[in-house]
Amino acid sequence: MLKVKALTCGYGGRAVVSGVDLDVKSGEFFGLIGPNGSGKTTLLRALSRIIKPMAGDIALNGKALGKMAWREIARDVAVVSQQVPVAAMTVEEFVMLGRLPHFAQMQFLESAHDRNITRDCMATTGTLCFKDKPLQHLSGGERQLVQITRALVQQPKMLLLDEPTAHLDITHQVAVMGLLKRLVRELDVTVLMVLHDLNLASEYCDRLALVSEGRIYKTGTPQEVMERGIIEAVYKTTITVGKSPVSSKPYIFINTSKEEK
Amino acid sequence: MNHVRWTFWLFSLLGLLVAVMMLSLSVGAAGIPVTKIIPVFLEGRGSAEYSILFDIRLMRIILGFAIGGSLSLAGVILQGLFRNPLVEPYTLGISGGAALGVAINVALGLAVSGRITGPLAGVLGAGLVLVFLYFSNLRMGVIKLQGLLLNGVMISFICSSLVMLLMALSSRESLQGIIFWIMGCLGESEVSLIWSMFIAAWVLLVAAYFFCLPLNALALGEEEAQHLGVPVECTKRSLFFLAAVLTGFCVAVAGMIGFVGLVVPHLMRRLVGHDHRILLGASFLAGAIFLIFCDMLARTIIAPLELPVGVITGIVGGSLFVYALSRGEVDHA
Repeated sequence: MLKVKALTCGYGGRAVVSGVDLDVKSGEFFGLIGPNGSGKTTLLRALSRIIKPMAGDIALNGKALGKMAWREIARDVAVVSQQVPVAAMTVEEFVMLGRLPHFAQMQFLESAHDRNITRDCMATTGTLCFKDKPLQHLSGGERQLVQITRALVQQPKMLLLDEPTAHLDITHQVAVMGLLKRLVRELDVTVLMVLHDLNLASEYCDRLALVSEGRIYKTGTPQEVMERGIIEAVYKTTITVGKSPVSSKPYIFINTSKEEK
Repeated sequence: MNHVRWTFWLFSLLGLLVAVMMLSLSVGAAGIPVTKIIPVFLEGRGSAEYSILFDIRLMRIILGFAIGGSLSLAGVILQGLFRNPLVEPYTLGISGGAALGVAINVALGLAVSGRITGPLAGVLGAGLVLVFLYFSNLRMGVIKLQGLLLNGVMISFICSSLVMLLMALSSRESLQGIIFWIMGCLGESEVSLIWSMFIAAWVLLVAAYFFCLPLNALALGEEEAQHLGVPVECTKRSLFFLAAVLTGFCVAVAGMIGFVGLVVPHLMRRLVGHDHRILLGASFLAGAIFLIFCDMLARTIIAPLELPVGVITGIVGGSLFVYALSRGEVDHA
């Protein structure tokens, strides 16, 4: 689905991410984890072509990303970014914008087909009940859901998400992650997301890539990546790795010394 | 449903436009009742009334329509492009360039040698500023919008200072010419110029409609628009040129008529919503209505003398704006 080779990118000539190789397979639930400032978001921005790579190749379904038209990319890849845009429009209008990449050449109004898809997606994510609310009046959780809904309306083959669970309580975290998991299973969508919460990443992702100082430190299943030595080396924090009693996925416990308590 | 609402607004505005045009036709030094307009038209050429109505007043209304519509359209485009509701066609310094061009033209005494030199000098001045703005804010193929805005404001100041310098240095007659032109006036009597302005307004409106969906996406920010498949750089460039050409033409033909491009898009946003598919057309029509109405006031308040229409748009537009603001009806977003 998405192949990255020796990618180096950054801002203003300074490389933030260097020599990254990634291979995300179709239908995979893939997580990017790593400390603050390690280059996860920068990497994601390069993958959604917001910043141009300084070196290396990105291929989407075998096609070079840099050579594709914006519309062509938007039909295959939907992006949920960290900051929710603030604009004077209702939730429904915002979600409907996701149909733009699929508009025909001289299409001007949404077709019945576009409206049906929008409605279905909003029903799936449970956002239909506040479809007429202005975007500015939404709570953090609602905004996150609305953004994911718009991404779904794009009917993409791949979803790129930047910390979709940031600022959410566990109810919404589970709702968002469960929804994404269901999309992967039922619609064969590929998900690549940046996550801060290691335990959430371990619980839901098929594979993880641990980013450290602009390089991929380790790629593999949660069991392979969530090892004490690896996590301690990257995060410079003492931890213990346990197991979730339910899913038996690795679980990270933070060790605090007696004086800190 | 959106489409029903949009159709309703379009037809209401069209109706209002026709009403204002009829009113504006009938009002003037020689009052001709609205009911007599059609009989006079049917009688055909020859009567004095016919030539007052259709050779003088109608031409002026057509020019008002084109200029009002264009300025308002340029305002919507720029506000959408910069995501800033305070931007108007005159913020970008393009009008300043046009003003300077015309002022130089008048000061050099070229204005008398032929009517067309004025607009030509205006277009030339606007074009020079446009090219300068464009290339000074291009960084590695990307237009920096914030820099563009700041540069535009600065160029505005420089140009208006230079115009004042010219006014200080010029003779009495040319001074009057410059002042009257700066305050804006729809008294242009060159028919070919009026028709070209009219055609340009429609052509540019149609061109703007090719960008209504990208403009909607741009409301979310440049990156989000890119995620939605909008070729952002190309869109920004095209919209910038569109707005600049609209403004340049208007200023060159009718001088500085302020406030239309700021107030009308605001009021329309309140009325018809933020969707550019309706907003572009509604603003175009409402701008035309607003300017035709203001010009009617300018012609009649101290008749047979005439006020500069720019003064009226400022007073009427400003009052409307303050009123809307006090009612909490203007978006602060």
